[in-house]
Amino acid sequence: MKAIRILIALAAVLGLAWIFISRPQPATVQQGAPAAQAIGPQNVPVLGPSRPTAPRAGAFAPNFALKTLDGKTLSLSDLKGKVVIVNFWATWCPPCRAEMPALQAAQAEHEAQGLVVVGVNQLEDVSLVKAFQQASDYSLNFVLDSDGKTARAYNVAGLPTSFFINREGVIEHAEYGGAMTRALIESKLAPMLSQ
Amino acid sequence: MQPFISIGPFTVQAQPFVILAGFVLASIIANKRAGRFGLNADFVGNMVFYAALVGLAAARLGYVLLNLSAYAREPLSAFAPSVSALSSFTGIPAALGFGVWYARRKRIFGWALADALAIPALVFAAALALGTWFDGSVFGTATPLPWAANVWGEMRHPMQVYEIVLTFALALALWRAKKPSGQAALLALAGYAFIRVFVDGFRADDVSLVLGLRATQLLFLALGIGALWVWAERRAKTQGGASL
Repeated sequence: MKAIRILIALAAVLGLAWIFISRPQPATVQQGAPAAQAIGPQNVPVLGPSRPTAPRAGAFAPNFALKTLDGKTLSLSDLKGKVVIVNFWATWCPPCRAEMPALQAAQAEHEAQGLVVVGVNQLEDVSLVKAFQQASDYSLNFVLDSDGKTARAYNVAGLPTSFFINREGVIEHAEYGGAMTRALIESKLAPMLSQ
Repeated sequence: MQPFISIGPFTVQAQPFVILAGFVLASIIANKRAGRFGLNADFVGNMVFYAALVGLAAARLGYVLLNLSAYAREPLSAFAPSVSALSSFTGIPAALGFGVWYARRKRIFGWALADALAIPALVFAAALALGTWFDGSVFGTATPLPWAANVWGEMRHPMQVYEIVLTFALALALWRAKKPSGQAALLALAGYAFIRVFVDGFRADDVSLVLGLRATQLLFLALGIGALWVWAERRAKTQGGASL
């Protein structure tokens, strides 16, 4: 029994030593990363060597610059300081259409608090998307991912897929599939809008 | 990171799929091992299955209550099938609480049950680790080591691989245990806790800190030492219990 007690004490000491040795070192973010790829601040101390730019919660959202329906360019980096929902969708996708009224209502209610919903249309013709918008009277920010490059950057494998991005450009939540209910959208937005 | 898996024409969300597959595998093993420790396999299988259902329902209820203002406006949304609207803070205690209640009712509560569930629990823990690899929520620090994995353009410690390999090695080491004395369960708990102390040392994603040290590692170290202590005490009491 004595030998076992000594072994347990040894395990505790070794465990503490490892926890101390492996403690996270403060570092700066993505020093080598080009600013164009990440929309977040570039010198914020975070755990570990870097906060990556990746399509997942906790990472900086990959930037994109896409054409709006009236031919202008909307870039995610222009929306810094706003809470952004990036919603990948297409007119042929029933759950995408089903969740759009909830997204529209969320934007209408929280616009003053800095919410912007960007509807990234997948591979469809501008005339089709325009007709959809006019028929349904949506005022969301629709942009055209004509070559699917942005969807690939966000690892989108199915529609709809939505990313909830905070004011610092960090993805707080990724929602795969739909249709999202208004309550789900509000529950994810609430802590982000109050920041 | 790969949030989806395609199987033929079907595309499924990788993390929920892996967790579900891990649960099914763990249930099968629990059923098989129940008899080994002198328990009714049906009772054990039912307990695990119902506990999962209760846990899932409680996880959704907890999420709705935590976000009551959002759900009060449209209460039927509480039944919408989204895996992101779940709270582990209510789900896990409810599943455990139900399991204990059910086991007591069926008179299978005790060290034998803990021993029968030890390896299934390890298998499920490995599935959870694999799930965090797929959804990208947990990732390692950067390293130049040759076995590093490329995660978002940076070579990082494949910490889920470390955890899964070590957890399976632990499960194999305990596989032959057949004495319903709680030793397999306590060693599984201690072993898993020490694995997490080691593996979490490579974590780069945000974790809570206590005095600059990772809180998860400190908690798992306390858990591991505690489990080992109880194991030693029980082993001393049942002298000759050196063999599992």
